[in-house]
Amino acid sequence: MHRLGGAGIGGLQRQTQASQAYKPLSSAISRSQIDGLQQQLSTFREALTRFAKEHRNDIRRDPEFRQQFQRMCAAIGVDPLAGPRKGGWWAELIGYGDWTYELAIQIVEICVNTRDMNGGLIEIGEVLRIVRRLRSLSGENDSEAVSEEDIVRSVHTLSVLGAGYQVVTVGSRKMLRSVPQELDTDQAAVLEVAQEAGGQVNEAALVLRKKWTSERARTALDNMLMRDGLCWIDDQAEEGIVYWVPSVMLWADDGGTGGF
Amino acid sequence: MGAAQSGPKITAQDRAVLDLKIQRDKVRQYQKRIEVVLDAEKRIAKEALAAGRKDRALIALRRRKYQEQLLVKTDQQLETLETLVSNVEFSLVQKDVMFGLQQGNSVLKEMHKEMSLEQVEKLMEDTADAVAYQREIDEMLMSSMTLEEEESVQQELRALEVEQLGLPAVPETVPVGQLPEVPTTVPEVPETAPVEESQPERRVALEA
Amino acid sequence: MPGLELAPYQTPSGFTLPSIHSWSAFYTYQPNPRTLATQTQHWTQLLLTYARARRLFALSLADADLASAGKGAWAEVLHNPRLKPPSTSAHYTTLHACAVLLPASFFAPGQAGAESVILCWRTVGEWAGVLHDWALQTGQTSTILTLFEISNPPVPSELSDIPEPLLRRAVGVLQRSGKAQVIEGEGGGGVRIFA
Repeated sequence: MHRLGGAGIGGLQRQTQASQAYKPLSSAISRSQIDGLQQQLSTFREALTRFAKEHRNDIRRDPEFRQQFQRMCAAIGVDPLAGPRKGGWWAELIGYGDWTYELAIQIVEICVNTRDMNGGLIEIGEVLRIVRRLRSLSGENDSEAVSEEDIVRSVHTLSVLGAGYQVVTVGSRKMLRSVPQELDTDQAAVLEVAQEAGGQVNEAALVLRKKWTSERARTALDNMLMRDGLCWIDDQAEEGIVYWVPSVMLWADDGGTGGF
Repeated sequence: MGAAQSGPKITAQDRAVLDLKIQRDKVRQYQKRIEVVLDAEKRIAKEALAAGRKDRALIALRRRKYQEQLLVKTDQQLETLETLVSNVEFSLVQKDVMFGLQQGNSVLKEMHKEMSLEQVEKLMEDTADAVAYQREIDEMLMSSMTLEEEESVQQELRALEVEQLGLPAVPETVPVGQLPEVPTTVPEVPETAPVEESQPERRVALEA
Repeated sequence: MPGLELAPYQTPSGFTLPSIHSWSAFYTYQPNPRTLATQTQHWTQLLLTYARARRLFALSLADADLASAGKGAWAEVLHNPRLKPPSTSAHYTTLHACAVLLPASFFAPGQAGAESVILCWRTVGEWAGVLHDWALQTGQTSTILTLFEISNPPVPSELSDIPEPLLRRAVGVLQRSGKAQVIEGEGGGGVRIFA
């Protein structure tokens, strides 16, 4: 969570209010100190406003810039999304908050719509691809580009909702889990093996790669098939029964995304 | 059948129109289906001709003509009846229409028999059974065929013969490169063609 | 990682198959009910889209058989010769389940129950509208029409080749709203449509 209770602008404002309330009692805090603080705050605000206005377009358009900006805010203890309204007062100024929320909503839609197909597990890269298609963006150079970072950040804003959206790392890739259930270690292992084989996995591969017993491999696969709905069975392959994990497969179109 | 039917009462005339139309539909369906049979008959005619059996080729062509005509005539007849039913006071023509429907039904039954390819193949067989069938067919066909129809059958036969001898290929493909040779070969064609054309007239005259 | 990307495929006849069609698991019956529902939905959508594009009105087990040999009107969609092993032919049960579940399809009567399904890529109600419009536009209201001449019109129409069971249902819709009258003749059905 990014919300910072004591520091940041929100914190400063609250502190000011508190100071006013304690005023009769606090002779220790001089009037000038508060004024100075107020002064600093407004200067900071002005500077930030100027910066945000000046770079509004860059923040919106350039994922690289946006990331730098995000880091800067984090460094000085400012949450760009905090504030009385949904986007925060200066997030509003640059339209950044809305942007993140819109993206978050889109991510939820994607997860819900693909859940039947992938069992609630989807690669961040896939989410990004669908978002880009939904927004008719051609690629990273597009003026309204969205990056993987943006997706991850938006997912964090979702965690407030307690909907169980969670970024997990499987093998070499980041995946988004949209059902509350945690991935157990065996599932993660199966996903990893499947990922390396383009989405395909079977008992023999798990025994070979993970040094599991056949029984453990069978149980893990059966759980993923029947309990979690994370994979599809294929009984027509040359090598016997094969399991496919749609969420780690590569789809050139809507195939794996159920309706998108 | 339906319980709460709305709209005007269904009259005997309505039923007659429907029955006539259904018969016409059947004729149309037969027209589509018989294409295969007609093609088979043409192929048989060609084969017979190639084997030097001009008589058999003629039977096949006559049969073909007969079937085509049967469909056309039936269709026309039914159309006439349909017009009659919708334009004339129905009670005046009811008897004729009912008779027409009966007739149509028997023609359709006949048509149904004609749909078999097996029968067509029989035209090429040499068994006693097949030969008897061929004769029977030919007599039946000859008796039911008009002079015009017979004439058109004869024309088809000639067309097949010409096709088989490869004669029409000469005037159509040669002109460009081989002009000098034309005078020696072509004259014979116009000479034979008119003779052949006049032949059936002579036959008709004799028969008449 | 193997370069296995599932991509859409355009058939020689110009129909674009979605990438899921190139996935062998798509042809295997899925035991997980949720997955099966997804699979069915994908098949349903694909079959209806294809049927509509090709104006195919029915799907039978015979079609599925033919298709698994790469033949017939449905070969392109029910059979994928590009897969390894070459032919994961349309899985019978899957297909059948799909056909049953097609939102608006129904079994053709007189076909021993399960032989053939009529695919409604237009709902029966929509077909009723098409039929009524056609009768109006061709000036054939209030006259007696045979069902055959509606599905085999001299000038090709939207209703060309519509199967009789489907046509009868569409007529039924018009009949219930007082826009048509059904007359049964010997050896065929007829209808009178009102403006």
